[in-house]
Amino acid sequence: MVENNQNPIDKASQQNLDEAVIKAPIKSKEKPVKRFFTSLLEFWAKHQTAISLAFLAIAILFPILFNQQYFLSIGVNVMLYATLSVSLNLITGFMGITSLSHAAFLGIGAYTAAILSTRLGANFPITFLAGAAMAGLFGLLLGLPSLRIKGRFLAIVTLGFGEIARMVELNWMSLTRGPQGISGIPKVSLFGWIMKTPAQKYYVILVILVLVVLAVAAIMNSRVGRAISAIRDDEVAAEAMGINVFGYKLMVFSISAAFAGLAGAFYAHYMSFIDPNAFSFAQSILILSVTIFGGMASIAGSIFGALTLLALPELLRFLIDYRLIIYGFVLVIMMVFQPNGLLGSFNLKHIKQQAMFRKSQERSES
Amino acid sequence: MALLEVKNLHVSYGSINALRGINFEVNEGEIVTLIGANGAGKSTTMNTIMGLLRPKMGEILYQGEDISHEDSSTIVKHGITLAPEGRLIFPRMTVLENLQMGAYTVSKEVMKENMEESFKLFPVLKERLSQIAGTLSGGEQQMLAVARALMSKSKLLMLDEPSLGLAPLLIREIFDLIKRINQIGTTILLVEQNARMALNISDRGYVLETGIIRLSGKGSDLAKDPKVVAAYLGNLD
Repeated sequence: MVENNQNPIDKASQQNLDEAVIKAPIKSKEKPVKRFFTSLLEFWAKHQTAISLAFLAIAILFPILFNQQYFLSIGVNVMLYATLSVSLNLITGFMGITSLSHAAFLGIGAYTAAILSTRLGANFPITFLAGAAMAGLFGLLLGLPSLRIKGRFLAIVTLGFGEIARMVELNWMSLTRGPQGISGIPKVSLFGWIMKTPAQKYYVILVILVLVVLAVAAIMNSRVGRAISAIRDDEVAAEAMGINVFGYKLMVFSISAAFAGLAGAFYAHYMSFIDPNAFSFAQSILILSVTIFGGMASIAGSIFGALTLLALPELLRFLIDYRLIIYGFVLVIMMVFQPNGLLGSFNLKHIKQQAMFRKSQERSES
Repeated sequence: MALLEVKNLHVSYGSINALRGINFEVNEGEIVTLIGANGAGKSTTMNTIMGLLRPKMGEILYQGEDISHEDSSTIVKHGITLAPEGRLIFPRMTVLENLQMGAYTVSKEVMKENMEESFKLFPVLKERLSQIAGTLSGGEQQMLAVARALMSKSKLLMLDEPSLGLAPLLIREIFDLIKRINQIGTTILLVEQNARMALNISDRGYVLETGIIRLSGKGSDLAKDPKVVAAYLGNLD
């Protein structure tokens, strides 16, 4: 009864609709596997906070259990990309604007932090705040002329911006030292306490990741978040509802860029050396891949996406020469069988709403 | 003073002049219909009133105030809403979230009140509250689009082709609803291809032809006008 009335109004968005969510209300007709899956999702939706805290606990315990440079550097890498992917998800997943300039914002944040710390001796929190603010400002400046353009055209504009940013970093010798890069960037120091062991660095990026996740979740659970989803679904209708579409786009683009800048500041302190090659187009594509692989409009998806895409090549090391082939194969299989990404098909908020709604109906029936 | 008064409105898409100086008015409490063939400029008129398009020339007076250069977010706050053509609901959001979006400009208390009222008009939406809007049937989506437009408790509700693509029985239901919404006290500006039914529930109507208003008059008179019958309604004999 629910599924026989599909309307062909918007095929593109229809395709993205999740089957599990649509079919959730008709429990009795489902196959056992599907039913198990649905109840699993409902369980997750219901205990979302507890489950997130459990994952956080695992992340906190990780350096204690695996206190080796190798494991911790993988952990840092995963969380750095998770941070970038969550911030990109805000603009690309939740709002539907594909941006190919995230590496540029990462770079702007990194260079800001690197220059401030090597030349002026600044450190946390100034370098982090300045990195985020500078990236946010550039996001705003890029967004002002370009966010009126739509879809793939905007993607090309962001791609161009990414290249411009890299070229400036490469050629403004007096500021960025060009291709030589900036070396000797000091480690993060918290009010005199220097974060020098791998575990300490790990915890710094963990805190940043948690902050960004909390911020994005808070935005998406608010009235602003609903407006963002509405803009993704239909700009004209959103405008007709009284939403200032351009204003929201600009704000979200700038916030997303600022988070990338924050990650960039960490990157500079963590690596202690940066050069323009780290912020290339390929880097933007990697961040976008993590977001798409993990799932559009899913924060948990971005984290699991980073976990899979950044940790998998390491886990496959025993395959030696074949490892990147297997890695590519996994990507292809994934996109064929789960095109919405790992978790992109589920909206936990909707699943929770539906479970509650069904329960209240069952209660009124009995 | 009319609630809405459009004076010498010109709108163009590049070099194509979609509206070439139209004048009409909508009084408080009325149902007014714009009819016309495809490309006559009906939707353009609505989108321009809503601030989605900018006029080249002319005035749009709402309660005596020119709103032709205001943003749509401001215009919604004035009390004008549009249910856009092709039921532009938010397909990946739930029915509840769609309704909440409709009440974007009003407070939470008003939203709750309005939602209860919508459920009285559209009981089917209450049953479907947590469903993803894109999975509703065409008729339900149209009802959702109208219900969403009602959520901001607007004075003037503009409906762009609410019967588009619906079965005849559902069309009748939609028109009955429009009449009821009007009786509650909402002024309605309607754009319709389904001219006969639209004119029959309207107080007044205007016939648009390639950007110019050709005819105007009482809804029931227009429905009988031989020129209108010949051009838009077809001869019943």
